Amino acid sequence: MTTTDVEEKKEDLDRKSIPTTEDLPKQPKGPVEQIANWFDTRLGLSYPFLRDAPAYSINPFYWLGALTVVAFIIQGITGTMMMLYYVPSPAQAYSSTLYIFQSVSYGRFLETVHLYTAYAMIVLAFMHMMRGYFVSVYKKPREAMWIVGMLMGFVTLGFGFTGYLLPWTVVSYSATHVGVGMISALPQPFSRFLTFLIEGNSGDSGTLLRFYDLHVVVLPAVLLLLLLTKMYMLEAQGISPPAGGLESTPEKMKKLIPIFPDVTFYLVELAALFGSAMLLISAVFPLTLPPQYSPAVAGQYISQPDWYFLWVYQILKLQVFETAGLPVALSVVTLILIVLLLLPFIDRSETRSIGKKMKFVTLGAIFVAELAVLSVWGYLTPGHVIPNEQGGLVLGGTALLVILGTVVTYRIFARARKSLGMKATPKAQPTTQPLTRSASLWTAMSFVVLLGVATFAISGCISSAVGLIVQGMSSSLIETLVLSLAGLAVSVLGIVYFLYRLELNSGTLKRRIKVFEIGWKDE
Amino acid sequence: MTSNIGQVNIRLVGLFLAIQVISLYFLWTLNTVNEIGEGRFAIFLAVDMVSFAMISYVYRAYKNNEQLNKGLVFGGCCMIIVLFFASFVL
Repeated sequence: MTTTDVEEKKEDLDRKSIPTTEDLPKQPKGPVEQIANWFDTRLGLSYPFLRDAPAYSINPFYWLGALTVVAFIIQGITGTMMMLYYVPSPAQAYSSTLYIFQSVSYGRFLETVHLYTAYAMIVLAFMHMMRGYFVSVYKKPREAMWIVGMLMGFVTLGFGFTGYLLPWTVVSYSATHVGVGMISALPQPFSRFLTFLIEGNSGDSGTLLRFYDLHVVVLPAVLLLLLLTKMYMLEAQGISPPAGGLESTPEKMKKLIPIFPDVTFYLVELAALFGSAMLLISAVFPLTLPPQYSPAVAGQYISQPDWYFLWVYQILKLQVFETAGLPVALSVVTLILIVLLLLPFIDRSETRSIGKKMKFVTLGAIFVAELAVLSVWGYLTPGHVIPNEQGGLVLGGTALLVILGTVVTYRIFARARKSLGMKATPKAQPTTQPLTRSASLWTAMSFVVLLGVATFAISGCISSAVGLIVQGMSSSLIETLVLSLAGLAVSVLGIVYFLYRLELNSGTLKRRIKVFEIGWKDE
Repeated sequence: MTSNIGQVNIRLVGLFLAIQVISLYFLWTLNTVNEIGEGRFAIFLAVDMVSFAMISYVYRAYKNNEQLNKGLVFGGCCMIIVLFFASFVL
């Protein structure tokens, strides 16, 4: 056998190992099958591009993210229909919205469904995030999926913020005014960039047009990109195992079920039920349009953001932050969001079971309860500054109640397990040595600091670049740009290095490269 | 046993298809430029979607040779009845 023969044989084997659409069985019978086969061969419709799902995933909680996407699709359809009539200018925004309401067939229906589905999208995204928090879906190897999901959550809030202004009602204008006020209180690199991005220099007309562009072009494009990234990662990593772990899952539930038709039909059922719930709510509580914005009418309204930002609004109204200033309050909010974003690097334990993570579950429950309390409280007290004692009493009381509730629930479950003769849940054992854990903690903290520096640097870069374009060349702007670029480079290198160290610590690279293990000696 | 499941499933699918036809008929008879008409449109569309979800569920159960969950079927039927009544209340 010559070398050419061997190479040809190898190429044949390689070709055979990768299935193509041409390899799929096809037996055209009638004209319909022939047409279907034509499309199938060219588009690869029957090519197995989505992996099968385990039986335990046939549960609505596993598909909260998919329902969020369904809400996004409904938003896209209803929004596109409304775009046909809406005019994004202060003079015509309200009248065109009113025209959709009063004169367009299904107009009020479209507006109402668009609004309630937007609310549902935010609620579903939040539920999806909190479910992920409680069952620790962000554990290795799904850290990047969690970060992408969190970014998608921020974009969803951005949709709410930008879309709320578009009808140009007095309520929406006032609410947006509160949001823009918060942005101006941020440190200068952020505020300069964000103010340029969302407001511009051309008054109301510029602001409305920018909000409209962000709402219908930029944010959907960003969300779709993030969605594709997340779908790719989901396909690569698969659906996360149940909270109790795969070991305790019955064999029947581990069985794989085909993505089509079983999982697809299940998703269609969930989507249909979700859609019908939205329709029912829209029919029972149809939207009524508040009055048009004008400075005279605005004076009669107290500025208040929409419900999903009420918790931030209420934090800003606490007396302690009124005194310390808006930047301090916003820093607290930003810190909460950064902690959520970087959760996979903060929680390095390997246990996923809710029963073994009481402190972690309690923290999550406190977070949800405080958000709910702050939102309701903010709705009930528009424009009132909250005294320190009252704030401490309500927020502290809520936290205390949640802690007590969680402790009692855990005790009841522990007793029930004992009385049923089951083994007590063993305390989670640390999987790494103390020295390594301390190094992990330091790495995570340095990582947070570096990300903060990177964020500042990015904002500085953009704001100085914008300044150079708008104001022309100036030495101070060039200095800022150079310094920001240097800061960005340093922080990116630092982040890459720390990610690498974390990877080393988890053991995957440890055996391969010993030289980087300085200071990471395991006992 | 399997044939019994099949017969029950076919009857249920027939019932839900009939409901879909009725709701679709109502959908096309509505004046959708006023609040009540649009509300009724939303409700009949919701009936249509619930029926569709039920047909899909029955199909899945039939395909996997599983017994239907009576609670789910009963819940779906109740939801359709409530929706129909809600359309008259609007």
